[in-house]
Amino acid sequence: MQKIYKKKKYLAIFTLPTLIAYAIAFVVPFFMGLYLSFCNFKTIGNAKFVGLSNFAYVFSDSNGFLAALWFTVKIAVVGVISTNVIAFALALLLTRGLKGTNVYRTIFFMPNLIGGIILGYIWQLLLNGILIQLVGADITYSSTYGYWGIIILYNWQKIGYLMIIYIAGLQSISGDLLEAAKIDGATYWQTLRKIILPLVMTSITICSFLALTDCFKMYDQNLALTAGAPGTQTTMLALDIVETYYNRVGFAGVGQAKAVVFTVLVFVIAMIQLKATRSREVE
Amino acid sequence: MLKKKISWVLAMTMAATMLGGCLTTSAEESSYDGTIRWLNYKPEVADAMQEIAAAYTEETGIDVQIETAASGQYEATLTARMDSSDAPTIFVIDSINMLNTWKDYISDLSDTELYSMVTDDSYTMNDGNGTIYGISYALEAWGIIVNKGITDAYFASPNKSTEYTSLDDLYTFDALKAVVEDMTAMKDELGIQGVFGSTSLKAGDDWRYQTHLMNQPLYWEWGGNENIDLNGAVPEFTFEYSENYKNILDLYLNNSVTEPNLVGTKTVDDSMAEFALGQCAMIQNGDWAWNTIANTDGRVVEDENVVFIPISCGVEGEENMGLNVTGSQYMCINSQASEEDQAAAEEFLVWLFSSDTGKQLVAEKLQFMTPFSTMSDATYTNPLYASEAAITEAGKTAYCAAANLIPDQTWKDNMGANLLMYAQGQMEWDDVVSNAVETWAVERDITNTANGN
Repeated sequence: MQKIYKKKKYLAIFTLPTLIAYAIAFVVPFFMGLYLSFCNFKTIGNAKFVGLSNFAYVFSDSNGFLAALWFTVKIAVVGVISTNVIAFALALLLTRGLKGTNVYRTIFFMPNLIGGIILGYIWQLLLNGILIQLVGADITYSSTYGYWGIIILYNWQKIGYLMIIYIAGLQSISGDLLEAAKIDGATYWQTLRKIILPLVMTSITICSFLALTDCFKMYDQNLALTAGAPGTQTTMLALDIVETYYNRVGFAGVGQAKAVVFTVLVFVIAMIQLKATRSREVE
Repeated sequence: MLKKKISWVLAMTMAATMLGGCLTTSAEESSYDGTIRWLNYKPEVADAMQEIAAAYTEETGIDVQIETAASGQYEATLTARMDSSDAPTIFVIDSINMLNTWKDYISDLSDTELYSMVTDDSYTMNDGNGTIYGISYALEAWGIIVNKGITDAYFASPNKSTEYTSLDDLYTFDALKAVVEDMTAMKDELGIQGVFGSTSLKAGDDWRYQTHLMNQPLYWEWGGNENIDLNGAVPEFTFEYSENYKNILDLYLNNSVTEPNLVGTKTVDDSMAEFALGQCAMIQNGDWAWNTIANTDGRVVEDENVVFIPISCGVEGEENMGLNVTGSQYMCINSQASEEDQAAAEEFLVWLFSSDTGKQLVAEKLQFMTPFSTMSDATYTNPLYASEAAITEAGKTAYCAAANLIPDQTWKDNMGANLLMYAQGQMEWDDVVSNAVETWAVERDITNTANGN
């Protein structure tokens, strides 16, 4: 009892600095942002309270926020599935003791170290080169090109990272289980479905969570690769928020309201997903 | 205690300036130990600005920080910086809309030494009652920049099929179109890949068309210099001269180095490089482009061959018109900065436009025409200034910058995107026009409401 009491006392002392930093850098700005979403302002020093009108605008402007939301959802659905499936497949491949496994792991991981803006410009050059050869137009020509461009770029960038997490998950599966399954006559697919997948469910939770929030928050890749072109058809949520906030006179409040809706959205999705995958995890 | 200290410092500063004023101005060591922050609007002079900052620091010991906003991002950057603790002391506004937005942050310059150097009030942003908000440091003109070497070769060629013999004949759209199309037919003989440089319609690089070229239709629709109030509210817009705009845009697109469906990949710099390398004969841009052209590696176009002709689009009376001109880059001093910072900023600007070192840097590095009497003896290397003067001397009327009244960046971005889709053949011209008019109405409302008009 004495011990626990002592521990609690120290807990406060040790966490206080972090808590203060967290409050300054996160909690305070968050609530300020929340307040500003109900205001009309240019710089945050001179905000005027306007009630719910910012939110009303956000949900009535079908070309802005809602279009960006729909486009982001489309990116997220395909992006989450494709990165996870490919990353998992690669992880399976690279845990089988093939020659040069480490080299491959390093190579697949490397794109993740390059910043999104640079990747965006590099892929823009590559994709434009291919598109001009094949169809005689560039990525700004159609939102379909932009859409698949973002998907390809995102996959290329993220697969290595997710692969590392899956490899860690796969390596933690005990060899006894796999051996026992083999002796019982299970085929590879059966082993995969009944033993490996349930046991790496934790990794799947982490990876799909990462990919999903990543897709929703994607900004630099979007900006560098398409910048919304054609028009604003390939504008994702984050880019739309920035454009609203900065590029339109008197729209900072609306931009802020969009950001709040965005935060709530990402939070809710992440919670639902976390719950859904957690329930299928095996201890 | 602190108050005492501050007043002591202030008194010393005053004494120092007074003494400095009596003794000598060149070896003045200031006691100001803050930082002058200039948020620069023009990426093309970013390097020159750094040189100026370094020169001032060397001469006075005062720290000058120059930050340059990315192309098309000035207001965004300004908004972000104004919220920070190192807000700019000097910033730039370029339109009445920006003035209205930032009025709370702009100090009145009417009592300053800087303003006393200005030759004409029309180069300032003012309210008409003696309050001076900003002073332009770049009087700019834009039109079509021509490589005279190539057009002279055309006019001298026996194979040409037009009757025109010099650039002076190209002040109407019909003449321009005839010559450009004939030159396109003869591009192998002339050694060019296209008459015009790439129509850069990549997002962020489309301002030559969604802003500058829009000046033509806006100017004509709103009734010319006498009827356009550049300090007023955003007027209504019906795109009455849309066909004329289309005329000149089509001419650019169809006689270009780059195929129309690929212009979405082209930047302004690409276009300037094509001109500098002699791959094209004409580009639409302003006198500020000279810096980029002159510094292109492997430049072949000669200084004396770089000249202006006006943009024509087939409107009656355009043969008497010259270039589009604007006072731009109105320098403002941040009124929310401390008195001391404001004074230091003003002193820096006075130095820049009146000291020998400063003047030399402005003329040779920035290469801006300025409205300051102190700059009247400066010599410029930019050949486009001579061309501007020649056009004015020939009695041509300059177009005022009607494009400064475009409501906001949203309209411009939208227009740019539509122009690109038009160039790619994905959008009908009628849709471009109707969309431009609709978006204008929306953004005009927003802007005028926000500005209290």
